[in-house]
Amino acid sequence: MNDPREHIDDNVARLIQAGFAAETRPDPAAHARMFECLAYHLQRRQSGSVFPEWIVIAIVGIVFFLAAWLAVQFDWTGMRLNMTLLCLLVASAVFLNILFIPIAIIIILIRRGYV
Amino acid sequence: MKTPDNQEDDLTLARRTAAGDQSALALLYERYADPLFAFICHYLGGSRADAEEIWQDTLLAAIQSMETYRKQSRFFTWLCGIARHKIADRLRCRGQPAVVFSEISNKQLAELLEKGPLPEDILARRETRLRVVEALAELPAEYRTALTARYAQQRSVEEVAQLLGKSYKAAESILSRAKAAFRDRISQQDTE
Repeated sequence: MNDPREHIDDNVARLIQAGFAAETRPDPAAHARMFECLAYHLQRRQSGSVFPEWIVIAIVGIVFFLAAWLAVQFDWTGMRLNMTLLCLLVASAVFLNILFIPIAIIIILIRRGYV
Repeated sequence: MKTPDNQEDDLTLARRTAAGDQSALALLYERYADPLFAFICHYLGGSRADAEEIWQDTLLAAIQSMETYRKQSRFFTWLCGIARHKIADRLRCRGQPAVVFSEISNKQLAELLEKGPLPEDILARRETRLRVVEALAELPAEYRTALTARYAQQRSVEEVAQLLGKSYKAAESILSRAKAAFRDRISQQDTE
């Protein structure tokens, strides 16, 4: 009587030959070319989406400067602000920046696939 | 069954690739590019030129949407999903009918595997070949390399040992464990 394990081994071999025959594999040149193409796309995607660091530092610096200026303008004893147009613009810029921090965090988390 | 688990998790590699890490991209590419090509070839059932174009489109689309992979399925299944969409789009553009598959369950296939020599018509079926590719793609890299070298490329055990950088005995043992893991995968696929 035949050993059933022999059938199984033979069948596994035949299945692999059928599923992964030479004609179902990319030729080595296409394989290498495709990887270069993917690496190039990945690099381009990254370089296109990187925000330069000096701009981040400049924006943070400006917001801090405006917030400090606003604090100097504030009448701390009377707890009021003499609301000139300039004060209003600076206050809007500072508070909009603070408001956008959680929104930016949510967008970053979604884009990186954590949410 | 114990399998080599020194492979970095696909999800981690996908995240690293999405963040621009080319070494992670290289690992994913080594693992899945060839099985994906085989999957597309069998799915289309012929034209190598078409398969190559769809393979390229699929891999580029995967790069573009790498951050959307969240392990809701296996990485290879996710790639095959993208490939299926690309194939369906192409057939629709050409006014060709969608590919229809006949049914063969993994249970049936597993039974046939043990019964006796597999009939030629089962081996020739597209569904069988697609399952083989999926099962192989999901095996650890060492097992897949050993099985494809030994059976698809008809190399001797000695050559497989050289390819893996192992002794003859170790290569024999890897081949035996790889065959068992492959059988397990073939019989598990549609229960997941």
